[in-house]
Amino acid sequence: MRLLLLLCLFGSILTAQTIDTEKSRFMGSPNGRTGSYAPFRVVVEGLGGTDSIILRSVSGGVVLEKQVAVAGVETAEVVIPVLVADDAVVSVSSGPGDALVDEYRPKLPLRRIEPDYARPYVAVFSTDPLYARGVLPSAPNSAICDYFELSEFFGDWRLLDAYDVVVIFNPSDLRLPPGSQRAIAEFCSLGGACLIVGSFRLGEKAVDLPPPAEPTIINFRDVQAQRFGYGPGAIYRFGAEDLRRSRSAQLVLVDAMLDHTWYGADRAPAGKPESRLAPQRTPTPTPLPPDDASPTPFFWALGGGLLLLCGLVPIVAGRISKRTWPAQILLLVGCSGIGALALIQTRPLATVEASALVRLGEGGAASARMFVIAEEGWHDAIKVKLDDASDRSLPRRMPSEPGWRAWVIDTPLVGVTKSELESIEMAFGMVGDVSFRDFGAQARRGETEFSTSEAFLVEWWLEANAYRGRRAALDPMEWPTGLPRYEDARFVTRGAMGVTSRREGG
Amino acid sequence: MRFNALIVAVCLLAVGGLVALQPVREALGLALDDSLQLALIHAELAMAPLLFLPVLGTRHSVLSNLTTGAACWAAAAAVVLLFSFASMGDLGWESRSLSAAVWLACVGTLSLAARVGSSWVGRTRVALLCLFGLPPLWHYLMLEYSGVSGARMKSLSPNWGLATHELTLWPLIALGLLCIGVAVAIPNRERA
Repeated sequence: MRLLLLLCLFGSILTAQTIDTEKSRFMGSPNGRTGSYAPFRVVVEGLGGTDSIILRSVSGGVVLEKQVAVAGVETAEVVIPVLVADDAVVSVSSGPGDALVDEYRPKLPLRRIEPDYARPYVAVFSTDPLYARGVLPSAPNSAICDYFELSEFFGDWRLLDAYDVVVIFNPSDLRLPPGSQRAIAEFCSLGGACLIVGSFRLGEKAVDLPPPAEPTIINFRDVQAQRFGYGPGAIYRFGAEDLRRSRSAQLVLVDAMLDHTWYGADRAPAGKPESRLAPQRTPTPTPLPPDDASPTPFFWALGGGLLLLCGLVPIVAGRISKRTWPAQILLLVGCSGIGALALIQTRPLATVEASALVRLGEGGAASARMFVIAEEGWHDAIKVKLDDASDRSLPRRMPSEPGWRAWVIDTPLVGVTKSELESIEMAFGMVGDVSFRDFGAQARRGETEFSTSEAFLVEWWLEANAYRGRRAALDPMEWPTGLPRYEDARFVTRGAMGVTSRREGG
Repeated sequence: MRFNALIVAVCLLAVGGLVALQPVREALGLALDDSLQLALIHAELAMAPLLFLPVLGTRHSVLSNLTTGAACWAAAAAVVLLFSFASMGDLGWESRSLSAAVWLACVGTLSLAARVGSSWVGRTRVALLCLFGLPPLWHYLMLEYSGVSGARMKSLSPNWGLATHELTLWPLIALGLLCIGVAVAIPNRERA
């Protein structure tokens, strides 16, 4: 009876937990960049008696998981990254067996923000969002901004995934929350720009992060800014007083943003800007043929055992009984046993092939975009634990060939080793003396520094980036450290290519 | 037939070994992966009418044929599952219900033929081979010459069903059970 009562009590606790669909929403709403992860505030109610819950952000082929301690509270508010896509679902699990308690399909933001060289998408953090809104208004023809309190600065770069630029207004010398230094470093290592107005006091000390490059001084409309290159990204620092005295703080800040996104040039490069959205075509080479599986001694033993069983049982049974059916029943049981044992043989692992595009720049920071294709027998979804400090990757599903699944996985702050081969400079659509398309064809034929596997990546990148206004150095690379590896698969690396974007004027 | 299961195991192991040989494998466009096991499953389904050897005789022989058929099915399953070493998927395991239905149909029809007369066993084998193997050809000929689809025959052909992932077991089970019922119902011949 007690057990029954306990079960009823437990059941009532489970059913009481729900996602408040009125209060749960994308924090940047009505703005949102389709195909990227945006910060989503989940409000879970009825938590009495529960110690912890697991929140999951599920979208096609990707599961982001966060464990939240909720002991002693009735309602919890948690911010997690959720993909701005039709199939995105937020779910809550708790209790033994990780039972699903509630799930919710978020309402998507109404205003779609496309990647655009002229209109960066900006997250603005300020002690006074109203002041920030006045200084840097969201305008459809300049910068499109979402405003947040400085105290809620995200400690995980994955919440900043949708944004091109982060602006921090901190004139009152407030300390940023713990985790912000790493989040800023990771965001910049992935090519983002961080504009800091005022003080830059971080909540943590002695974080093991690569240092930025030496600062350079740049004038934006007579306002001086320090620019710290950080891998492919950069940190711009303005004095709060200098900005206040300027004629238009908004124009100054937008100029700084465009300085980064236009690579220091006066006008925007041609084509579409690089963004973290998944491309439509995977640049991985044609998959290698599978390794031939070879039979183990267990196979030979079972095969021999089967022949012995089928040969001896009828003879022995024939000596005991004249009837045939007892021997056949024995054979049925014996062969079924051998079949069951055959099922526990070591099986070949599914193949997962990966190519990496490493983004380098000033200082020692670098990030990688790993293109992964996996045989369909592997997992349906890649799971990432948001609490795991050692894994800061963010996967996205992409279209794939039949029989395969494909993901693109962004990983910040990876360790890189350049190959001993020389860099290749790409400028004005030319790589050395040849056009970028001819260079791609040469790479396919194995006539360049890149391997024929890396040629797919080279050709794909050049096709997307070799237009006006883009200059870059391309490097053959060793496979970077710090990228996810999958132990339950035959993980094959097909090559890595480094890209260092060059700014105009050096 | 006391050694029927042995014959099944030897034949299927020989087929598996032959298909695993590199020149044969390359000629058939197979690799040492799931495709090898799939080829073996197709061979098992196609060869079941040939490999089952029914005992001629009275009503009691039908029971004996049933147990022999079950042993043959288990021996064939053991060989197919042995070749899982090359396979990532669970096709070997998943195809066992289809294999059981095929063996049941073969046991039923051949047992019935064995009750009718020894000459009928061979004829039934040919009929079963046509039934299991030829519907895709009939379908093609019907489409070609009369514009009518014969895709409904897919439920009769286990190889066709396996190739198109549309398995229908009930016609095979019904055929097997019906034939077993008739075989049991036929009265024993009076001795002169």
